[in-house]
Amino acid sequence: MTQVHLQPWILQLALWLMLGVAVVLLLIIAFARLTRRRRTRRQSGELRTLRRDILEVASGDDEEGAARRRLDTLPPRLFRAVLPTLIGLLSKVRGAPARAIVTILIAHGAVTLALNDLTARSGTRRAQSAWMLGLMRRDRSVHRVIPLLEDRDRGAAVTAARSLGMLGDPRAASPLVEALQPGARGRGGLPSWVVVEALVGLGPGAATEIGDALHREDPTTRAAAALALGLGQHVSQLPRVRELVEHERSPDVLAAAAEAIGQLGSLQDVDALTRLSGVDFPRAVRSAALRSLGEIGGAPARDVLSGLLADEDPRIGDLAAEQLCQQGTPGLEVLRGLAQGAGAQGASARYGLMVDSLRRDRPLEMA
Amino acid sequence: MTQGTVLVADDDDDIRDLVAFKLESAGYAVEATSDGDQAWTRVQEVRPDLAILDVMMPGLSGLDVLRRIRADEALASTRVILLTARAREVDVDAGFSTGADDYVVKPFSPRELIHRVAALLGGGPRR
Repeated sequence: MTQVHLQPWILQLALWLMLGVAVVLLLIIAFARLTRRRRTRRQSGELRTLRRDILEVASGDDEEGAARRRLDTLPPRLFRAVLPTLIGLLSKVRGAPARAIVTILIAHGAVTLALNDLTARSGTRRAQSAWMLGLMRRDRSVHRVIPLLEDRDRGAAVTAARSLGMLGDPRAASPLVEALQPGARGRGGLPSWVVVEALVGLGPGAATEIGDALHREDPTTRAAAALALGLGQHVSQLPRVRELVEHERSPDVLAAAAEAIGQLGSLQDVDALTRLSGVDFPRAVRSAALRSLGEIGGAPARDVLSGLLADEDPRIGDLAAEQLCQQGTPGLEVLRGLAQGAGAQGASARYGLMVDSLRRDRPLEMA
Repeated sequence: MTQGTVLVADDDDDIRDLVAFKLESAGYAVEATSDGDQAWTRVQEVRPDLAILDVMMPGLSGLDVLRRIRADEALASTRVILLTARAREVDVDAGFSTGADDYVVKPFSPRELIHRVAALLGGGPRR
């Protein structure tokens, strides 16, 4: 083994060099921090001025368009700084102010950037781009967002579905329904509520396509379609939902269809809902049928609900009481008439009146 | 001379600033707060003609503040608008049942909001 002998002056020089490098690094860090602090201070001053312009645009007070023009011509550095505020406000205002904000975003090339970023390597950027296109209501980008429903990044796929709901183009109905099915390598299989919400956003033009999904083999798809038809107020599809209730076996689908009938149906549906509220069905189906009876209201529905106050399942009895409460005076009169009685029916009626008094912050009236 | 005093309570800075800006430019005096507890304190102190309340706020919710306003006889003339993202029928129903004079769902039109404020306060906005 050979030994290396270093001269002391070499060691000393190395030590001085290291010290020198450390001092230079410290100076660089201090300089960078100082510059950043100055830039932040200058930027926050500029942002304060710009905030007034942003508020003027977002409130619809910029009638001459002067504030919008100033924001249109911002240098990229400042535009990046105000972008989160603009995006935030875009999701909260509608009408002319929303259109003015979109104009500013377009002036800064945000649409082109978002379209390009739909294929970015980062899943977060793909999701942000889809979200932005949805917020900007760029309906021409629908065909570019649809493929993201199959994105390998689940966050991007979910955001794409929500973006399609905002874009509101009925052409997205079929791809959204398909996105409920689990695909290869963990793709697809989007949560039902995300797809339902997006389908609702597609408007009346998507009614038939969603109605067709009631005949799919997969119960998750049938349930999602039924919920979307109800929430979307697609009355044209009510006959198909009624037909589904007649033949359906899956409790999840029956519960969803019962909910939909509550939103779309009429007194004509009380018989079907009464059947679904019977003891032969699981609690989820019975509960949905009860809520729908409450939605439909009217004397026949109240008769069924008052009978269910005596149900052997106390949760069903209490739910029936809540539905009677929601019908206002006629429902409360039914409850008051039964509140003095013994047994489950009286107990549920008293529960209903108590809930009503708490909700309305009024004294309890039992009779 | 102002058209009246309006309290705006919303934990979203952008919304709060936007509503306050719009109200001020329409000639109203504005009190702004970012949570429900503060909102209730300011309502008692300022006794605004109208309160615009977000439903979901830190501390007391908008509905809690509304309930307290309705339970206080000294605030009997205070009008309340709920401004919220909760758009379901059951939420709107809960808002009106609790005593709201109006219910506005986000995303909203600031101009429409001002018209609703003016209608409740019995005067027209200046612009």
